[in-house]
Amino acid sequence: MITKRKIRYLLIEFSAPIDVKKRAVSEELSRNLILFLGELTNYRANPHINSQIGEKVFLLRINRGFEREVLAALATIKKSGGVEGGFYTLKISGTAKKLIIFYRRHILLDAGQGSSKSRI
Amino acid sequence: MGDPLKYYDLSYLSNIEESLVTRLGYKKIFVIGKDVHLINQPRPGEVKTIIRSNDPKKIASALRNNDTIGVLFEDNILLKKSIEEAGNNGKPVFLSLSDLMDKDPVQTSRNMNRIRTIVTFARKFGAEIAIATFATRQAYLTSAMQAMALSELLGVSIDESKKALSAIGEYLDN
Repeated sequence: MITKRKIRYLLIEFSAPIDVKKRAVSEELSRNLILFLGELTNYRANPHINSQIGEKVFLLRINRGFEREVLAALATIKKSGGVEGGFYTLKISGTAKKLIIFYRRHILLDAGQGSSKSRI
Repeated sequence: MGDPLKYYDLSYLSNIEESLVTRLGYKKIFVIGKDVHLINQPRPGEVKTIIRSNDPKKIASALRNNDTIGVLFEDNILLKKSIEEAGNNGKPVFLSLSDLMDKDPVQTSRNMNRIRTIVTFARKFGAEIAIATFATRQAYLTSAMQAMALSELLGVSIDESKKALSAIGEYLDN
C-alpha cells in the first residue's frame, strides 16, 4: 500500500539577505537544527529547504507533526553564513503554492517590492 | 498569519519597521525604556514598570505598587513566595524568550528547565504568565508563532501561550 507523505511547508524570513541555494548555508542551517533537535528528532522531522522565493525568504519542508520543534529550533538560530540574524517563521501551510501566494500578496506588497526579483 | 494583530511583544529595539511587526504576527512591539520600564528596584513615581530582580523583598515591595505591571525573575531563579505574591496581587510573571537563545546550549538548556519550573509554580499559585522576547538585537526577535512554539516547550499550553502573548497589551495598549 502506498501511503501519502504528510508534509508541512514553513515560510521563513531571515533578517538579512540569504542564499539558501549555497551548500554551505543550507548545511549550516541543518547543523544548527540538529544541535537543537538532536539527530533522532531531526531525522523524524526531516527538514529540507524547498525553494528560495525572495531575497530573505525561503520555504522549508518538514514532516507533519514536528512544526513546534522546528519552529522553536529556528528561533534559537542566530547566525547564517557569518551574518547575525534571526529566522522568523511567518506562516505554515500544507502546500507550497499557498505560501507563495501569501508571500506575493502580503509580504512583497507590504514591502513595496511588487516589481522586485522573485525567484519563482 | 493566524490570529493576527492580537499579540504583543517587548524589546529594547526602538527602530523596528511597522511592516516587520505585522509580518511577525504582532499588533505592537513595545519598547523597553519608552513604553515600559524594566527596573531592578522599586522606584516611587515611575509608571508602567516591570521589576526584574532575584530579591524577594524588592519584588514584594514593587508588587504592592499599582504602577508595577509584573515581575521578571533575574537569571530565572525560582522564588516561590514572589510567585505566590504575584498571583495574589493579580500581576503576571514574565518569561523572557531571549534566555532560550543563548549561544551556549548548556545555558539554554539550564534556562529552559528553570523557566519550566517557574511556569509550574505560577500555575500552582494562580499567577498569570506573560511571554515576551526582551530582544536586545533584531536577531533575537521571534514571530508570534515561534514564541508559542517555544512556550509550549516550557510547559505552557497553546491557549495559555495565546493569553500570555496578549497579556502585555492589556496593561500597555490603551
